[in-house]
Amino acid sequence: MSSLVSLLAQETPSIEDLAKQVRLDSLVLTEQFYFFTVVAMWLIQVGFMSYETGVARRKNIMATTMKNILTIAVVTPSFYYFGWYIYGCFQEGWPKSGHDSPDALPGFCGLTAPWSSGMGPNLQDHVSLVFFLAFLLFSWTTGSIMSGSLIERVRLSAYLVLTVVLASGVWIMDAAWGWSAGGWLTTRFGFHDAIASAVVHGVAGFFTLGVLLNLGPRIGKYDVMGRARAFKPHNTHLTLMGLMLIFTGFYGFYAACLVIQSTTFPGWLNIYLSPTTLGAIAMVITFGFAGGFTGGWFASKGDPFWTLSGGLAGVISVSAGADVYAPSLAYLLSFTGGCVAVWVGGFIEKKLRVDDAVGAVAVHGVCGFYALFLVGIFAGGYPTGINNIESSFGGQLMGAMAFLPLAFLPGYVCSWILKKLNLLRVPPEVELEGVDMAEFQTDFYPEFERAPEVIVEPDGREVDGAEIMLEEFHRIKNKPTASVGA
Amino acid sequence: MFDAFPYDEWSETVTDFWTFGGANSTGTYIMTALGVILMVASIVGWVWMENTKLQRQAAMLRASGAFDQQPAPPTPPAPAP
Repeated sequence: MSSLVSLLAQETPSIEDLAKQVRLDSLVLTEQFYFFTVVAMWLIQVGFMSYETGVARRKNIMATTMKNILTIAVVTPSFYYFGWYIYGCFQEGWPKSGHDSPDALPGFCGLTAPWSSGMGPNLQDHVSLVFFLAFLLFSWTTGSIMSGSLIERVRLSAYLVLTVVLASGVWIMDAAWGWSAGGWLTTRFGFHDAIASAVVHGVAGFFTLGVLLNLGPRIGKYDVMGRARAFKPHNTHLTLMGLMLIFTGFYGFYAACLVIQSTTFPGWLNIYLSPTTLGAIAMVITFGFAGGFTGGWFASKGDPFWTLSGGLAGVISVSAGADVYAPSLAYLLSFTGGCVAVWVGGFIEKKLRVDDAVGAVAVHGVCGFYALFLVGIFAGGYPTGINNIESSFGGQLMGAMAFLPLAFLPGYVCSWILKKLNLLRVPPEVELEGVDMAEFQTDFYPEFERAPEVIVEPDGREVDGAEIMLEEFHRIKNKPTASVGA
Repeated sequence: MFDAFPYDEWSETVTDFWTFGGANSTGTYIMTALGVILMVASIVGWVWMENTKLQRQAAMLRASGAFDQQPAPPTPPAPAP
């Protein structure tokens, strides 16, 4: 009996042992949490692939699909080799104190170098790699936001070059400045974009606008009077399913934007290390979809594509304040976001004559920045970040002024250089025939007979597209300086 | 069993060794440099390979005369219904 008591006494853990175990449990929980957000965020890639492929005409489906797949092939290494380092070391604008910078997270900069111990198998570090992976998935998303807008005429390789610039350079620089605990926009101006409305969506959208200005519209998109025609998507169901997959993946995206600290009240922090809860942001995203669908439906008079895009726009419009908004406020604001996307999308297509095939500039770009100003109005005064600077309209404006040129100029300049090198756009002959034949030498629906291509004229008539396309082709070829490259 | 496993000692060794070389070691720098070279070469390869394919297809289409047929004279847009 005495030996049993002695044995039990020996196995009773001390307070220190329990504390050590709780810390380990917390680390493993954190590791698992980010791992599963990454799994969920893969659905965003699947969704963008389906969405854009459905929008493409039959002759361009695989060229469209490959863009989304190869985004992973180029962004993953480039983000590892220099993107993550930018996030770790440029939060104060420029590294001030070597690898100890930034001061908010001492030593974090050094851990983000590709040769650091934080980036390899390391039993002492459960968090660095899954945190990196979550950011990598955000980076893929920025590339995919751009890819849909450029379909059916951009070269695959040009897209890959541009997406490296966007996903491993531009967006992560703005994230360092305004989406980190030590970012100068937050520590000095109280900039607040909790779930990356402008940081991811807005910046990707305006980078895309810069590219579209150089890329030009698809052949036949505008008539001689500059009025917009519409191309028939080859599979609208695939597009809508893709959007639903993106929405599902967004729950992982939202969750990954939080910092989990299970041993410290309240357990969750936003990216600026201010308190929130997972439930709060899940409510906002759900009401964001509800309001966005409603706004998109009414603003587009029931158009299926814009109804679902309105849902995306609605969520983006409330993401910046998702950690603090009440559900009803999220519902109201996202309704306006859905309307804004439809109206601005029409304006960009019909008035500015920019051929954005999926409306990404309106949905992601404009609604992303719209969300910043909503925070300045509806969450003004909320203390943000480690310095507890109050959010304000001025602080949000400062962020927008920093991000707009950071997004637009690299997109415009890089695409301009590619255009001058005749590497931006496919040759017009290839565009007419379809990019798939040139890239892959095959038709990807071989068992179905090809139907004549249908184009919707500005007055709503559906006509055979062949003659229109040929006419536009000769108009381009006969121009002294062709607006279409190659 | 597991309690006898030399966690601290082993993890230190793994962390230091880190598959090819210790962090901030010559090995990790070499691996990084090789990876960057592969990344850049693959992007250049994509550009070159695609350009070759596109130019070949465009030349073939031009030679075939598929788009030589001149379209009919443009007609004024029909009034809205």
